[in-house]
Order: sequence, then C-alpha cells, then structure tokens
Amino acid sequence: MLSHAIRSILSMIPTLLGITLVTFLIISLAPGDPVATSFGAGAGEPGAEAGAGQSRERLADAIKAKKKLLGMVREDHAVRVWSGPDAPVAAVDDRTGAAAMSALGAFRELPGWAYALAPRANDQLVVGGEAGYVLIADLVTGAVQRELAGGLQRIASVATASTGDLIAAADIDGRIALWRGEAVKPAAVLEPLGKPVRSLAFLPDGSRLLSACDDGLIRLHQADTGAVMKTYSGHIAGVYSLAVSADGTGFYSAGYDRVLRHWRWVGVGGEAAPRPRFVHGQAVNALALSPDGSLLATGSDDRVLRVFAVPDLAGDAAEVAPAAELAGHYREITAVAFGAESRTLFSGSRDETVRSWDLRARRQVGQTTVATGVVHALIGDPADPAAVRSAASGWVSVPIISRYLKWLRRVVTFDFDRSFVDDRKVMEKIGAALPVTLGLNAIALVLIYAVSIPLGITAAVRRGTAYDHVSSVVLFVLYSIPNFWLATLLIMGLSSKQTLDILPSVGLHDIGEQDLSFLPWLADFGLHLVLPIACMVYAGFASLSRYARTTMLETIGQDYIRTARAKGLPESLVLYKHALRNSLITIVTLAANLLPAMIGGSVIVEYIFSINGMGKLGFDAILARDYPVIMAITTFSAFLTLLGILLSDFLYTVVDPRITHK
Amino acid sequence: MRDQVAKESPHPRRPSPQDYWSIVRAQLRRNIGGMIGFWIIVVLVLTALAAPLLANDRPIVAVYRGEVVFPSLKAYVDLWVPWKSLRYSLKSWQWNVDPPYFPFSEHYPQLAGKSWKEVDGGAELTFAIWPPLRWNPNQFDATALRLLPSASSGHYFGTDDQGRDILARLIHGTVVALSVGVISVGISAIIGIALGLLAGYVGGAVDVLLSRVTEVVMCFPTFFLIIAVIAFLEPSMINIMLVLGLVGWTGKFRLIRGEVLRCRGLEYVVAAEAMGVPAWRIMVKQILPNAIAPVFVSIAFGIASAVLTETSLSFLGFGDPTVPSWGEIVSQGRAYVSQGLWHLTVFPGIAIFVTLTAFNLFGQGMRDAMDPKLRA
Repeated sequence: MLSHAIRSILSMIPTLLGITLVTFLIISLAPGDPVATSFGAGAGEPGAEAGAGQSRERLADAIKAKKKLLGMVREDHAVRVWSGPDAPVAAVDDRTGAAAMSALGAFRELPGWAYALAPRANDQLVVGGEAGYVLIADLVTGAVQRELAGGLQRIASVATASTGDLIAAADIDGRIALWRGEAVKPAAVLEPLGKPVRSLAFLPDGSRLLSACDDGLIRLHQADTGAVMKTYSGHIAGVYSLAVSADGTGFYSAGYDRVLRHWRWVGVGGEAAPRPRFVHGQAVNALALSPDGSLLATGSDDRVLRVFAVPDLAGDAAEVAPAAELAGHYREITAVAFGAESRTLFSGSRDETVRSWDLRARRQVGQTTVATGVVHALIGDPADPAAVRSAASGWVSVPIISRYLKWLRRVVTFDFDRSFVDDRKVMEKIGAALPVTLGLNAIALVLIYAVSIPLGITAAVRRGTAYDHVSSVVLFVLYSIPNFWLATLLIMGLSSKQTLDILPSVGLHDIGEQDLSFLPWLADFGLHLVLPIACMVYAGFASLSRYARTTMLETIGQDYIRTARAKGLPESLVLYKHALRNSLITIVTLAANLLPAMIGGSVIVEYIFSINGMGKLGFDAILARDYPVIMAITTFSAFLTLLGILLSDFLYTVVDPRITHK
Repeated sequence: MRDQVAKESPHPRRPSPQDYWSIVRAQLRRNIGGMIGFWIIVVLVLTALAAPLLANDRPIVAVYRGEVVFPSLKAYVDLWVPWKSLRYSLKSWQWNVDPPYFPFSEHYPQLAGKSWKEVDGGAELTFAIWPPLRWNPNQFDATALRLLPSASSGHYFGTDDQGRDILARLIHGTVVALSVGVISVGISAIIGIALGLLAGYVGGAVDVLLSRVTEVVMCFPTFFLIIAVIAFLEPSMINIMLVLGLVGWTGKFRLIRGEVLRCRGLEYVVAAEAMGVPAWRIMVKQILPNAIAPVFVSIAFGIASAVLTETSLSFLGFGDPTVPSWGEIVSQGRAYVSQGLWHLTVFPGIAIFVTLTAFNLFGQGMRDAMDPKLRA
C-alpha cells in the first residue's frame, strides 16, 4: 500500500514537469506587449511618422556608429543600455508601428535580478539586486569589478555620494549598509527597520544620507556612521522615492500617498517642513531631477509621466501644475531618468517598455520592449546624452530551458519567488487563496455527492416511471445551463436592489466581520456562501446523478442480483446492500475527474462573486502578467489534480476490498 | 454449433440487411430528445448561414439608380475572400467591373456617405427587399444606449451599452458560436484520431509516449490554461479555436486508441497485414471506419463544451472584440445588473442554453443509438 503510494507520487513528477514546462513555454514565448496586440498598431504612441524602411537603415547605421555594444544579451538579470534615438524617430518597430529604441547591450552574468542602480565616479555603476548583492561594474565594458558584502536581503535601493567614496544600499527589510573607499566589508550596517527602504540619496556634499522607508518616515543619517540624526514625518504612507535638490537646500519625496512633497532645510541637515506640491492620481514610484537641476520628473501608478519646473516647486504657490504631462505608458510607471542634457527623459514601466521622450517637443520619441520584465530602475548615462541604463528584472533572452531549470531549482524548495505586482511572496498569496478554493470545492463536492447519489439511485430503482423521466429532464436542463449565466441571473434576481435584496453577492464576508461574535459570523459566512455554492454544484448534480443512475442500472442487470432476488432476499436488501455497494465503486472514482473541472470552474465563480481564491488569484495574475504567480497556480492546480487521482485510487480500495495495490 | 443454435432458436438470427449506420440512424429517429436536438441544430445552422440576410442594415436586393444590387451578400463575399491582402490584390487587379456596378460591393459612391437606411424611400432607391431585422450587429448608435426591449423602437430585444441591437447580435452570434464549436472540435478530432490511431496501432514506445503526453494534457487546469493563452495572444477567433482544439483532443485520443486496440487483433486486420497492405492503409481503411463511431458522440458533446468555453471566455473579457459573442452580452448584463437591464442577461443566456441543450441532446441520442444494449 505504502509502496504503491510512493510509486504513484513518483510517477506524478514527470507529469508535473510537463505541465509546468508547457506553461513556462507559453508565458515565455508570448509576445510582450498586450495592448499593442489587442488594439493594433501604435496604441497610445505618438510620433511614428517616418517611413519604415528608411529609418530601419538609419537605426542600423546608428548602431554601427555607436559601437557601445556591451556584449550580447545572454543573462536575464541584465542591466541594459538603451540608446535613445539620435533623430526624433530612430526606427519604426514592425510589430507595434511605434518608434523603437535600440537596446545596445547588457551587462553580463549578474547573480540575480537587479532592482537598483546608481552611477559612480570613474565610469562606474553600482548595481543592487536579488539575494543581497551589490556590485560595482564598469560602465563601459560591463565587467564586474567588485562585489560588496553586507549581509543584506534583496536590495531595494542604492546610492552613491558624488564627492566621496561612499556607497549606501538598503534592502527590503530596511537594513541600510554603508561602504567606504575600496573596502568590500561595509563600514556600517544599521538595524533593520522591518519595512523596505525604497530610496536612498546622499546630499550633494556627501556628508549626510537620506533614506525613505515604507513606514512613511524619511530619515537623515550621518553619512559615515549611518547614525540617524533626524526623522522627518509628513507622508501618511510609504515613501518610494527621494530626490535631493542640486544646491542641497532641500529635497523632494513621494510615495504611496500620491503626494509630491518638497522639504526645505533650515540650515543644511536641520529641521525641514514638508510642503505638498502636487497630488498624483495614484502612488508615485519614481522621482528624478535633471542633471542641470531645473526639472523634476515623476512616474506614477496613474501611468502619466509628469515633469515639473524646479523654480515652480520651490516657489510659494499653493498648488503646482506640471510643466508637462506625458501619456503613453499603459501600465504603472516604475522608473524615470533624465538624459545627460536634461532634454531627454526616459521612463520604464510595468508595461515592459522603456520609452524616451523629447521634453522640448513634449512627445515620445522612442520605445523599446523589455519583452517580459519590469524596469525597476533607470539612470541616465552621464557621458552619453542619448543613453540610459535600466535595471530590469525579467525572463529575457536566456535560453528558455535554462530559465525553466532555474525556476525549477527554486520551486524544489517551495520558493515561488515574489509577485511582480506587490512584491509579496507568492507562497503567501497562494497560502491565503488555496484554503478558500479548497473549502468551497469541498463543500460543493460533499453537497453534490449527498444530493445526486440518492437522486440517481432512486431514478434507477424506479426506472421508467414518471419520477425517472421528470428528474432526468430537469437534470438534463440543469446540465446545459452555463454557470456564468446562472450566476448573473441569481445576482439579478436575489441580490440586486431592483428586485429582491436578500443574498449577498460579493466576497465571503461582510465588511467588519472581524467584530462579529461566532454565531453571527457563521450566519454571515453561510449567507455569502449560498450563491457561489449554488453555482458550483448544479452541473455536478446533473452529471453525477446521471452517472449514478446508469451504473446502478448496470449493476441491477447483473446475474448476482438476479441470484439474490431468487434467493428470496427482501428487495431493499438486494438494492441497497448488493447493488448499491457495487455501483458505488465507479461513482466514487468520479471525484477525481470532478476535481480539475471544479478548480477550473472556480475561476468563473470566484470572478463573479469576488471571492479571493485560487481562481481569482490566477485570473488577476494573468491580467497583470504576474509570471511567478501564474506559474505557481499552474503547478498547484496540476498537483491537486494528480492528488485527486491518487485519492480516488485509495478510495477504490476502501469501497471495494477486492482491489489491492501491490 | 452455431448452426444448431440458429436452427433451434425460435427467432433465427439473420444477418441484418442494413449496415451499421442505417441502424444507428433508425435508432436515433426513435429518440425524441435526440431528434429535438437535431432539429434545433439544423435551425441554428440555417440561422448562422442566413445571418447576413436576417439581420442587416442593407437591403438584400435593391434597384438603385436603375441597377440591381445585392448589398447584403457582401458578407458572403468577405467569407470567400477572407484575407485582406488577397482582397486588396484582387481589387488592384481590377475586376473589370467598376465598384458601383459590382453587385456585392460595399462601395456605392452614389450613396455619398449616406447609409442605406437614409436613402430608403428616396427617388434613387426604387425597389428594395430588406432583411426582417434592419440592424447591423456592430452598428453603434449613441442615441439608443441600453434600451429595454420594445417594438416601437424597432429593437425587439433591446440594445447594449453601445446602442447595438441585441437581436442582431444574437443572430450573428450564432455564426461565432457554431464556428468556434465546429472548428475547434474539428481540430481536436483530427489530432485525437491521428494520434490515437498511431498509439493504438504502432504500440510500444510510441504508445507509452503518447499516453504520457495525454496524461499531462488531461491534468492541465484546462480553463486556466486557455485563459492564460488567450490573454497572452491576440484575442481572435482563430486563436480561440486553435487553443480549444489543442487542449481538447485527449478524450478522442483515448476513445480511438481503445477501439484500435480492440480492432487490431481482429481477423480482417490480420488478413490485411498478411496480404502486405501498408500500415497506414490498414489504419485508415480497415481500422478507422470501425473505430470512429464513439468519436462522433464525443464530437457532439465536444461542440457543446467548446461553445460553453467560448462564451465563458467572452464573458470574462477574453473574447474576440470584433465579433458579436453571446458571452460578451451576458457580461454586459452583469455589469449593469443593478440597473434592471434584464434583457442583456436573459436573451443571450437563452441562446447559449438552447445551443448547449441541442448538442447535448443530440450527443445523448447518438450515444443511446449506438449502444447495442439499449437497442430495441
């Protein structure tokens, strides 16, 4: 028995591998620009007028002339160099019809995804990323020169002092580490704050360091020891980005609370009061000051790129209007950077593109697709006005099979990575969603069996009677009703203000369920369950009872039933002991076949009733192109399906003692 | 021995004069549900074929400026020449007929930007036979958003949130539902039959490999996979059909494989092998006709489930936005559920339900007709 179980589980492995590999292939090979594919060429992209053939030649010339190729893009964990277009339109992308930027190359062989970038003197670049690495790389060749150790988790931000040799890095647990000179060991590592520090910035004279944390506080540190000197409060939620003004008289901050704030110091590094300057539509992810200090750009979840004039921001007007609002990204903007001449702006977004904008013409002049990755950070190239560097995380340009193996290596330890959308661990999200779906399906399954087996058996026993005909017609009709239609009808009839408003149709609880005592809580929960469960069970009633009827009829036709009757056994004993037990064998095994269908069907039910289970999680992940979550959900559902099959194997032996697994 | 039984039996079994399929047909005719399903399917197919003539904003036949034209038939021309490039190249070859005189053309320069409806009753349009429903399924009408059904507005089933006539969309939606159902099941049947024949007849490693692949595909969270693929690809009819076809073949594979395994040892196959008939010929000519019957039942049910999946996809917003799909209308019904727009939910739902019922009934009827145990 045990050895059979082990063998079954082992035989599941190739199936699981196959399923995950196929899913991986699909999401890896799918084109990267969903809006462009959905809405046709040039969705939301201005400026694609130039003739295609001519500009492609010009692009080729430009690439030859640049000779900035940093090596082939081989590793996904790449810091890329994008060339902004020299001319307003460098090329027209065949697929999107949009102006295309050219990726000039990428740094090689980073040990993991990169999340943060900072420029350093002497043509060096500081890269921070996954698994806590901080690298110093050559800006030109891309060669990694030094690796800094500091015992950090995933790096969320890095900063360099423009004067001294200081480098600071902070991780998602809020640990800040400081390195001085050429030392590999940090000069100081601060106690973790418990929440990510998403932005770091040195003051222009290099004496102080600012850190912005998800706890909503901005801290001023001694640059050499890291000691906290001042804490600035004013943001009511996490601060995502900081920019210190070029003259060192103040700084800008923005974050989840959507407000761009300007802080002016009374004496450098002293007290500062925030002044709200602009309220964005949604959270602000990135701030960037132009090299000449005259412009400030913000990138927000509201997908609009805004440019402010610094004199306006420093002025006394109560409300500041952006000098330019640039629209084009169709997903959240995650990174912004200026080119060296302060005239070109680069932006990176969750839509997996890097775009360049001409600030004088106020329009987009270039675009490139990162394929399948999110641009986390961008910095302008100090030397080359038209180039920009990005830290992109993505599954790009590596042979698919090696990416898959890498994914597999992590999954073996149940590490499904973090969600692209909210940085939460995928396992946490699954852990919250899985019990909901399993619970719903368990309730539905029990109900289906409890109702349809008696229905089917009775129909078989009373074969040919009116009961049999009516029940089979009713069940047949039920079977053909699409569940999304039934759900909509039920909501329309039972939980709409227009008609009866007796059953809730959103979620599994009312707002404020935590405050309820147990019994009202249970009643609330039960009421919320009625509609979703109703939509999950009725099709099962039809198919299972029909199946039960056929099986029972077949069994009743067997010789041993005739024998039992001939012996003179009472009919009830014949039916319920001899026939029923034998027909149960096949019915029980159907549970395994129902399971995958139910998990698939839960997508629709959870979507309609806004239940946060696996189906809705998967649906949202697909819409957000949240690859780690998609992969995890596929793996889990396949695993559950296989488990169901295994379970039915065991149920066989429970119901029918003759069957043994040797 | 056999002769003896035949002599002794009061009802001697004679070889039936009919072939297998005529028995099945006769059985099916006796099955009321199956026949109801069959006739509904016939009506659906006719509706789909005649959709451009049933609901359209152009006349079927008209005498326009002294010329007899057939504007509604343009939909069929599009069907014959479905590829734009081909159509354009044909145009550039100059069909030797000026567009205004080409009876199917949509270009009637004399209309001067007016629609057929505006020309109707004027001096130029001397005669016109209009479709019974004078709405185009994709015709936006900002003045008639979300109308409830009423005879006076001419929208007998109401309009949706873009002012499109629901009845016209339902009629043209038949084309979408049936073509997705038939083509995707066609794809899956071809794959399933080909692989099933191969696995069953060749056996050995091929069989093991194919069965393993089938197992993988069967354990897929299919609906989730379909959503994923459609969301990542262009949401077009072709893609939906392809994906449905590529994940739906496992059932047919198993049916055919089982039947082939059964047939492989039969005398006529062995005889064919002994005669040196090539393997592919045995598979196609000897085994396939005797193994294919259960697949037909599976095809009928498969069409029902493909229609269900397509409507579910469009309900979730992953359908082809350029074609009228029943599921998309229901999703509007859900969006406006609090405004009492019941027609957006009820009518398309009934259309889906009737289609599913018809194919399920027909499949059930076929299954019963092929089952020797139920044969009267």
